[in-house]
Amino acid sequence: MPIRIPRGWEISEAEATPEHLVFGRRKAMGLGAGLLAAPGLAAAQGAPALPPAMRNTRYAPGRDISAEREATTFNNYYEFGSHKSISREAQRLPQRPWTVKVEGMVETPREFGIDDLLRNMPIEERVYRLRCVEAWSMVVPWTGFPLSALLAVVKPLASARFVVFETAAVPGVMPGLRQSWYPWPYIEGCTIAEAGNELSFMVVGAYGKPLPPQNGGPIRFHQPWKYGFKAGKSIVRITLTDRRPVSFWERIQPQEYGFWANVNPEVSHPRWSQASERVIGTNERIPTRLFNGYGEFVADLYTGLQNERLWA
Amino acid sequence: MILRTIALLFFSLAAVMGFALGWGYELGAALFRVNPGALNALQAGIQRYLFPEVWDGAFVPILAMPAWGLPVLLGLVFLAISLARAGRG
Repeated sequence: MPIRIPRGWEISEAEATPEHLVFGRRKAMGLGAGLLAAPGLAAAQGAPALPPAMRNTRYAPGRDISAEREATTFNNYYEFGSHKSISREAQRLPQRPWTVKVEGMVETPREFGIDDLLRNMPIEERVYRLRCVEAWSMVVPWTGFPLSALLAVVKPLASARFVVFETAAVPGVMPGLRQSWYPWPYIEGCTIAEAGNELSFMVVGAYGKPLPPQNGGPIRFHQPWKYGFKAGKSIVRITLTDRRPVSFWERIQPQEYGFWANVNPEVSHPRWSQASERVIGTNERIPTRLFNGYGEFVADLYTGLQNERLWA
Repeated sequence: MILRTIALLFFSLAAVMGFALGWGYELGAALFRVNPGALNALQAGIQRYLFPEVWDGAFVPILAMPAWGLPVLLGLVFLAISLARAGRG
């Protein structure tokens, strides 16, 4: 008799939220959004409502979702400062019009309007764990689409090996840009194989609403098995290239922030342990998991790369 | 005499920095070039554990001034002390 071992992400049918409750919740959230006055909770300015998005239960986080207020008021966004209370300042970042150029080693370079992406990409909701390199974490219901769906439109050339993400740089709105010595714009990147992984997600919303600017609205990237700084926010350009990019943090402190930055509790940051993480919004501290618990999806991406600095 | 010599050394350093780095080269850029991690840690420490406004309002304007401005300021301080002491004597 065959023995079937369920995978970590699987849940039983009985645990799935009934469809009428999902859509009922969305309706209630939509009505409630206008009542929320705090900047962290307000809908992203100028952004129309998201199209309906069903939750993809394949990526069950195994932990409670963080409170929306925590996730939208405790933010890392270096263009607005190195502290966490940037949500109010970030409201000044216009969310429309917004375009994302996808260019470089692709058959058909394109410039996409954000609303065209919302209309044409396969939008879904995924609840991902987010692990910051600073040893804190949260769980966020993101709305978005797989990066692979976007890449399928532009058709990467066979010679493309890396994907580079560039964040908007808006002087006058982002006070951090006054520090001209930093290597703006914020650049991050990954390999084409990592980009094609099913977990690689372009995020356009959170908690059923348009992604607020402080979280990287109107569009950001997220690879949940990597430390959060790898996820570019407010993306304006995606470039496919055959050259490994040197990211923003890699230029500043290469010994602390590398290209791969996969989560590993056994490899400490030079200045602190990565063995555990503080759960934002609670007093809880929990053990950190290899690849942030997503090893079954991504571990094989790193076969044969033992000589690379995969964990920093 | 020693204070005036120190002041003169700072003025000389300012001139060297101006010629070597360029007269518009910012102090922050010069410090970043020497040790990018230290400047970054200073910013994080001030913004996270003190007040963000202190960094944006006080440190950034100083760091945004030309790099040669700092040794000129220090030179002026030493020169002022020297003149004050001479006045008392």
